[in-house]
Amino acid sequence: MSLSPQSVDGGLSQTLVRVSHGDRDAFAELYRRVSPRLFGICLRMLDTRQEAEETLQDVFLTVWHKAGQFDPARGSALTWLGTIARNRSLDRLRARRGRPDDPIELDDDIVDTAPLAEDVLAASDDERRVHRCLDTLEPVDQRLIRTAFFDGASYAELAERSDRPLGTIKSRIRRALIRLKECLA
Amino acid sequence: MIDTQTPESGDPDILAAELAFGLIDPADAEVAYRLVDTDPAFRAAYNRWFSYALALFADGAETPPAWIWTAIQSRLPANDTVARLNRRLTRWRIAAMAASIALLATTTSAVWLSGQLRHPVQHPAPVPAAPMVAMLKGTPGAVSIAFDPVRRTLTVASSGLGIDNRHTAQLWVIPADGRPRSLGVLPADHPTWRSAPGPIAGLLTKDATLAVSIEPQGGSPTGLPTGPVILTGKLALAG
Repeated sequence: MSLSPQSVDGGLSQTLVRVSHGDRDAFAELYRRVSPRLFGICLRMLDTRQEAEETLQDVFLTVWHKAGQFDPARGSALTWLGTIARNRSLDRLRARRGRPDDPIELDDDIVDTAPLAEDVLAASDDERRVHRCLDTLEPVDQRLIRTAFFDGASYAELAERSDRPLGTIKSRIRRALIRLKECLA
Repeated sequence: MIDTQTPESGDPDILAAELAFGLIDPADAEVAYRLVDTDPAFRAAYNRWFSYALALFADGAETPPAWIWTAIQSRLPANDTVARLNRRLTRWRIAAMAASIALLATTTSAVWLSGQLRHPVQHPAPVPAAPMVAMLKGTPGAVSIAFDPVRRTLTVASSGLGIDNRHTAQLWVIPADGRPRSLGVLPADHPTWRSAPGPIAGLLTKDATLAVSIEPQGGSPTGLPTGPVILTGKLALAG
């Protein structure tokens, strides 16, 4: 399965190309359409609203300056924009010195705060499907995969933060990814 | 990273997933990123996995407060009204630094002069009695201002500033010396009036520039505008 272009793009690529030509109207349209999504990424990854608000500004300024680097042939506009939002948020997380990373508890009985697929509002069918498939994984694996993406934590960091051997973490996440792939296929 | 403890999955699709979810250490991710650049099938897999990862964020979508768009516009380069206002703001900040240095120099020489001359300080010229008005324009919204120099009352009405409840609009006068002085924060929901203290009232003269900036709740912590300026205008004498 791949997220259908209509559901997530709908001319977004063309709008982004217009932005790359310095079209401010296109930039305003782009902002209207994707700022809630990108703000959601910043809010999710950063601890405070203030940081998310400042980072969102940086995200759109980056988009304005780098729109020329977007190549519609190489991927969707939303992926490109989402990458910028995630990277800017990660920059922000990493710039904060002395921030201790929370340990990851791998006890199965910890209640996961992630929304269940049926509670995910305003998402496309495809997006709900991703959530549904994620829900089929062990709660611990879900938590590890989410932490990797939201905190920018690599295998090595996940192993350290969960106090487990690297090999154990790797093989468990790889198994989970294979399950996810099968579910989404 | 070199994996000695578990066999590699050998599945390029899983490698693409690992890359998209950020599981591979940045130092070791270069080889995989090169595949994104050179191998269209791998790139497609990476994009697909990244779109799955983004779907995890879909539930968190939230419309950002309106002032963020204003702030973004103000930071865009050149040919932009708000950008011009904010370049001016930068000059105010620089001017403010210069002014405080100049003020220090003036104070020092005044102390010295008072010892020498014992002349009373000259009274400033009387302020004109006619009321003054200003319409502040920009994006978004509008602010209208009336100032009565006799009663020293300032009346302000604003509309459509689009500021969320964690920020506030703050009114400033920028006299000839270029240093903004606060005229207070503006309530979002009703017109307001206040008495201008003598030194401030003396700055509210014909052609004085007024400006509104976006500040943290409670007003600028520094005594100078810290957020983007969204509106400006000049005081004019009512005929």
